[in-house]
Amino acid sequence: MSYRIGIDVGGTFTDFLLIGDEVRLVHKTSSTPDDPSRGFVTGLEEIAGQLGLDLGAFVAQLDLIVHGTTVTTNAVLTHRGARTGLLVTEGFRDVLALRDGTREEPYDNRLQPPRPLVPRHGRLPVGGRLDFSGKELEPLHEEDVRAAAAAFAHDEVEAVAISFMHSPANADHEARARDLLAELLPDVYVTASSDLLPQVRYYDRTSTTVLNAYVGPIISRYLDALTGRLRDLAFGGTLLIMQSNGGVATPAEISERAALSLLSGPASGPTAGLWQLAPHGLKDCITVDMGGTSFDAALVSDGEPLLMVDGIVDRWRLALPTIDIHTIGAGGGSIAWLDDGGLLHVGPQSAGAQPGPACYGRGGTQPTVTDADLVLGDLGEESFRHGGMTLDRAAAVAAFTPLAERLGLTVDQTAAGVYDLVNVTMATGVRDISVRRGLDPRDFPLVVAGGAGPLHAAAIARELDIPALLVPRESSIFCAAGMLMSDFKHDYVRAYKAALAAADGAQLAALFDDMGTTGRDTLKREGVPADRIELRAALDLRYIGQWHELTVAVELPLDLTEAAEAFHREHDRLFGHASPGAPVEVLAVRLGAIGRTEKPGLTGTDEVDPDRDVQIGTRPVWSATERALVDAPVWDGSALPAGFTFNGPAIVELSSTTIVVPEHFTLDVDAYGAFAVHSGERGAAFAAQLHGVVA
Amino acid sequence: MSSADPILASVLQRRVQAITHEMATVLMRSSRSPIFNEIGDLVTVIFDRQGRTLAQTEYASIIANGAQPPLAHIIEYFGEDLHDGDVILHNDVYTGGNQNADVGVFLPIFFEGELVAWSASKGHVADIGGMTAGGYDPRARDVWQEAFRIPPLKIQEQGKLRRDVWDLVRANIRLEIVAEDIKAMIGACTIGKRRLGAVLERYGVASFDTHMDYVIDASERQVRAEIERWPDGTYHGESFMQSDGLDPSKRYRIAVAVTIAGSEITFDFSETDDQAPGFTNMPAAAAIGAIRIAFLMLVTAGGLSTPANHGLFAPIHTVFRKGSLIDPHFPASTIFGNQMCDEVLESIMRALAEILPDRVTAGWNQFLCTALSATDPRTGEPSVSLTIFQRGGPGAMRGADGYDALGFTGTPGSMRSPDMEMFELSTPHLMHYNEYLPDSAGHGEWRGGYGTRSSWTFYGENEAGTTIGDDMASEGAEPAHGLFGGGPGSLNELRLRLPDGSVRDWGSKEIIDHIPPGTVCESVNGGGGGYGDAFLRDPELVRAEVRDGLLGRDAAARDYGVAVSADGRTIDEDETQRLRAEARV
Repeated sequence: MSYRIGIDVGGTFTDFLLIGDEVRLVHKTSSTPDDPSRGFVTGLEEIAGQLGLDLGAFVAQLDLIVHGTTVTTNAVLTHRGARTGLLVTEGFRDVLALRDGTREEPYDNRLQPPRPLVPRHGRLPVGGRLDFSGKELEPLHEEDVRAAAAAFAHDEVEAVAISFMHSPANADHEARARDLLAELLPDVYVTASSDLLPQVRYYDRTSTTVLNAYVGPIISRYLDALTGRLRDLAFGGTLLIMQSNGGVATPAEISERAALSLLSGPASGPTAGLWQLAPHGLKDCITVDMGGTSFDAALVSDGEPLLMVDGIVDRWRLALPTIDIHTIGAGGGSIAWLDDGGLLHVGPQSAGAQPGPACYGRGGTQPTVTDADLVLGDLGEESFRHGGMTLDRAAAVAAFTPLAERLGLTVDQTAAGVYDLVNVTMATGVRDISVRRGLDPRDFPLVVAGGAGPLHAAAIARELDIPALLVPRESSIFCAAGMLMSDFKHDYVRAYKAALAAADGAQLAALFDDMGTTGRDTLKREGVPADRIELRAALDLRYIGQWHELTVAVELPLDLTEAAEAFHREHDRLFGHASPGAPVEVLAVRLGAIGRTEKPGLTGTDEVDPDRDVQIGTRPVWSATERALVDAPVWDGSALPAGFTFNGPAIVELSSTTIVVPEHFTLDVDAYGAFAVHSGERGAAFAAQLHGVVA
Repeated sequence: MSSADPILASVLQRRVQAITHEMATVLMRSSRSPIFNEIGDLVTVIFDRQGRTLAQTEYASIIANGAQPPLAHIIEYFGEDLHDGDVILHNDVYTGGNQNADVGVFLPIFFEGELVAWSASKGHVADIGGMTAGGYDPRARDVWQEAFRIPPLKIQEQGKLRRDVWDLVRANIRLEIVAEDIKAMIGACTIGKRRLGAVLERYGVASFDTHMDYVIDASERQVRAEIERWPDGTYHGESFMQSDGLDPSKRYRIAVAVTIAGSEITFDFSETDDQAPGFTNMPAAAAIGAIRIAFLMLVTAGGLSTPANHGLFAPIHTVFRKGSLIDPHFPASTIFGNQMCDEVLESIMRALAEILPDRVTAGWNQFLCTALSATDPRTGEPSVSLTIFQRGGPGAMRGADGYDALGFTGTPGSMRSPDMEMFELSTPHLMHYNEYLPDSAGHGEWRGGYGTRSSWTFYGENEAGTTIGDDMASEGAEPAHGLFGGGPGSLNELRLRLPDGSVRDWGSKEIIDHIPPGTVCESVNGGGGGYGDAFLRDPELVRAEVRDGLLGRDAAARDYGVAVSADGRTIDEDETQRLRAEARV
């Protein structure tokens, strides 16, 4: 027997998905934020127990562990990263602190700038200057580097970031400074911006480099400890780490490019969504993940999760390619409140996990979204029994009573209002990610994850005129599933500025070759066979005179005319117009090196017991048309076989989530046991595609 | 529907807000000029049929108010002659515009044959005709020298583009990208119209109206409750503008009387000096925009957070004296008017300091930057840049230091600075430095924000530049004031070192037609005023700034009574106690 396991360490729970030849096992255990590797190993023990194995025997049969971790993100959020220094070009000591010149709340004069991860006394200027083309105007002042090294040693700095003006055009000064530091401070973690992210925009690159240095020693120590523990358990398989670009990498790679683990938590979501749809020949979807405190939405278009290069981590720019995930502060714990003018709001305050919603019975008294779900019958008092909890409807009603009195409405009506309002808020977030890309959300089915997602997804879909959504069986451990489906992925970029028409084809080819070699070598080190390597080339292009560039995919060998045409097309798609006559310029060349992994296929719904009752009973559920609680059937999701179908209103209870099927929606169980919820002709057409593929 | 459902009102508020957000996203993404998509100088709005703001998304605060006054004029001007499919263009400052370079597009939205709402977008365009590209020219003496005036103009009528009208507009603007930007604004308004149509389809007009009334009332109730907490009375404040661009020694007084009566607030600027002969005049719409920025800062400091719609501003009344610096007589030139937000805000903060000490800020360093145009010798192409990396510091307030290098009050942190590398790649300039300016922040228990120092070499061909600013030391301006014992901020300085070795000051509002290649510009943008007794400031905060090289040791001892070791690592506690005790005597 051999197993693969995806392990997603979150703030509250660590999720596991184990896949073996005949086994598919979902597990959750509590996270241990002080030392996340403890929860990791505890979960492995528990799973071994469920399989009737001892830990050692189980680990010996593990071929692959894919791990998503938040240790670096937490280090940034809590300011507990490495003590870090920064070398910058003389004259630009505050490039980090000045950011892009904006304040997030224009009218709030109390809002303070974020505290820089490197204080000003650790941001040291170095003489020496290159111009925009990389030409040396003034040689590097090595004595400045030496003096800085002495200051860093005195301050016991653990990491240093180096970022000089125009290093993407000429890395010599940074390389020399890096080599000097390696000599003078051999135990310090050093990141040169031209090694990490050789692309223009001084603040973006500096911030990214500082983030990398700040978390470098943290992730290195964590991964050393984890690999040590696994070695003690005689683990002989491969450990891979989830990156924020949606791909996986080995611990050695992540230790070098530590910032790639920032924002990696939800990065496997889109891949998981795609995995659900791919067997049906579908390549587009929006994944939505609603948990206790936040709602994430991401978009997969033509089989690829969309990336961004303008991510933000705690108010600092992360310019490495990152899955474009739109997060809004709306979740099950979001608190409903009435402002002094009489308008209802939901969030951003959240009851969190402690005390949690009022219905948890842990001392919460404020009305939350989860309380509304319970009042409306979307959740039942027994819905969380697999988590060992009985929900207290009376407590939820009590929490809503003062709000209802102030509104002059019944408790039911008030809860329905909260339900509507939070759905509109989430729908706005979904619309945002698609509109930004010039895409119409109606063309994308929702793939729904997170414990609270399936309670709200149909209402969100209706708000956006999206005809269908899919709830996978593994909806609550969606990201852990996605991790097992992710490919190796490494992104490279090189600065190159020229008018596209006058670009030097040989030089561009050399840059692509250079990145391709690096990518192949890296993947080879990670054990990817040559025939599973794919290279994806792209150019950053803009019209001369524009300030923003677009990343446009191109074929190799490069055809400049085709590249220009692709740019005009992309510009037109995103912005509604193009200027085919206008000159285009190149700012950067990019290459993605992908190592295709072996992915487990979806398995059929083999565990369904034909003798079990599929309908558990009925319960009163809020009807939007009747404006009242009306009895609706409650189905046992785990008992529903492939091909099963019924019309809403109805509720489907699963061990880890509850699906709401509203009036005018139909539920179909697809060939793999996932639940398609749809309405109208377009919805039915979508659902039809999900049948007929044999598991 | 007669009575409103508060929940549906909340839901509809979100939906309409989301529509303006989507409009702004579309506009940012589809516009061509950097001032739209890089700097974000724009606003999108949904209005009701009467022209009341229902929701808006703004990136440049000073423009945020800019769409409403022209709409009032448009509604009156066209009366019954408004039809589905009309598109109206406008910029004219004498029919409600805030600045001629801020161009608005307005679409009436019809539902079942009836005018029910408007969608609008407005943004700063790169050129709008007149004698100087880009519009900023202190030599302009009247509106025609500054701009091609567009009073309400239908460029599309009942769905049909009026080609002759459109071509007339294009023929009077230098840059083709402006036409592209106007098309992008029309596109954004069309999205707004479409999305609002879907909302009306679902809820019907009567229900929509009832519930949006409820939303406006809700905002108004909240803001009135806040003003009720402010003591009744009339309070006076003033500020000064130095130089009108023609005479650097000329100083103008901006004076306000703020009257609070119950939940009503009146800003009366009648006592402001007479209008200037040059471009330093402020259209009423720009002044209302500046007043709203100050007001929003005050109510935000009071803890208010409510949707920006008509109700939020309903308690505000404004009085201007025709022929004064604010609301000048036709046909005065006015393109500097938006920049006078600094003076308007300052006068209001001063007027209310005594009664709202926990909401006002100390004085802000006044804005100063340059607008440059040249031919880039690398490409032979024209290059236009706005050097808004030159940023001063805002004033401190109770409980908060000024936000370092925030810049202009009219866009308080809402406009991005050009990135240093991108600036060198895209314009013919070489930067020497751009950093915080040490010792620039006014001291106080809460200090002012630090300013910046910047320097660059020009190497463009045919380079010309205009300054847009104030607070210039060389012109004898006064630095940003401190409050309640806080120290003053610092002034701006700007000079050019020419290739022939000579040095010249550059005035706050001065055009230089020829800047020879090799000239070096040196800019100092000062800090904001401090708040409260600096001897009460936590010594550790003072020490940290000494160590960071932002505050001199002497200044720490003199202004804060904190003795810091030479390396900035430790505080001499005894000496600090002595210094602070001495000050008590």
